[in-house]
Amino acid sequence: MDGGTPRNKGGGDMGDDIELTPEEKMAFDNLPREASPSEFLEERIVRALRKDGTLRGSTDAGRRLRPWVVAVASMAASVVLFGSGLLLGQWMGARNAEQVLLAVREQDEAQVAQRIQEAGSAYVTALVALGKLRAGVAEPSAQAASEIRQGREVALGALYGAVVELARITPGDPHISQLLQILEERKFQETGIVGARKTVWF
Amino acid sequence: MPDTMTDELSDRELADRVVSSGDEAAFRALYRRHTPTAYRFVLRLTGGDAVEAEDLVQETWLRAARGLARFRWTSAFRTWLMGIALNQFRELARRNGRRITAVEGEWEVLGDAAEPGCRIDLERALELLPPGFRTILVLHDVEGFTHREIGERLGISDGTCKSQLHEARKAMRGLLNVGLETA
Repeated sequence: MDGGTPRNKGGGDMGDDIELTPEEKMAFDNLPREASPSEFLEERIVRALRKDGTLRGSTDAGRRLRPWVVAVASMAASVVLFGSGLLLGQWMGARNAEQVLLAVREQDEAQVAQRIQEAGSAYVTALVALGKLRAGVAEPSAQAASEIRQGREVALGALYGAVVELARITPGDPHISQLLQILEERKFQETGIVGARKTVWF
Repeated sequence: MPDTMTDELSDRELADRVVSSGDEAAFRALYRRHTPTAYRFVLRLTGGDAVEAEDLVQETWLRAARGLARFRWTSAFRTWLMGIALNQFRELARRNGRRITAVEGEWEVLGDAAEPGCRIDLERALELLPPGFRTILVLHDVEGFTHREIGERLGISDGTCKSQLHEARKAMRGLLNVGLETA
């Protein structure tokens, strides 16, 4: 092998006693030479190399994600922002402005975990409602079926976006990596079958 | 713009940037240039196991990047990279107790090739072969390694390599004929 250029295809070196037929040689020639691994393999490798100091400095070059990743991540971010915004609005409405400003200043980072918990609870509650909706309709109309499907897609998109973020926060966590991989594989499978996905705008 | 710039650089220029300054963009350009080939190579060696193939590609690039400074450029970068990938595959096979340098005794066709009326193509036949047969066919008939190169890489003699190839081609024909006859 020299620079990836086959030079011995079809056998014949050193007196092989089974030669490939022309058809077999052609079949070997026609095998695809390239395949694409999952989107996040590059990021995993780069993160590991940054961590051990082999790579230094981060440039924007090459860090662009594919459009569907951006779309899903945006959708997930929208869901989380929507949920946390709603909760924040309710919370703020229940307090006067002075107290709110004071609380925001004091809590800030400490509230991150709380917000995640609140958004998570809202997410699960919404899924329970979706489950009830699905279970309560034996034969849903086309519109209901479409809404259920959209809800499921948005839920999966949010889950995927959350796992992507978790993987960024804890790159060495094998369970998160596995989870990401499973969701990624599912995404590829679904993309191949279903085709274009619907986008839900908030 | 930086993408275009790095894309125009040779493997060596990119590698030099990685070694001298840990240039991430240069590494990404190298990665994108060679990963599709490396991934297909290990995907074939693993019999189509995408998870295992990704792990192998990851380990291959980590080792390559960390060892770039020691690469003497006496061969093409891709050749060197594929050599690392093959070593990783051997290591994985060793850890999993899989024999890739010899096939002994009878072996059984599993999966869809055994189904009546099933027609399989060459790619599927490669997946169904035992790891030892598959490895030698991929290296020799797909990638174009010589017996000597294979012997050196796998730590076997030329004679063993030749007899392994002989048996592997017989097995491959058996699979393809079964598939074609029952089609």
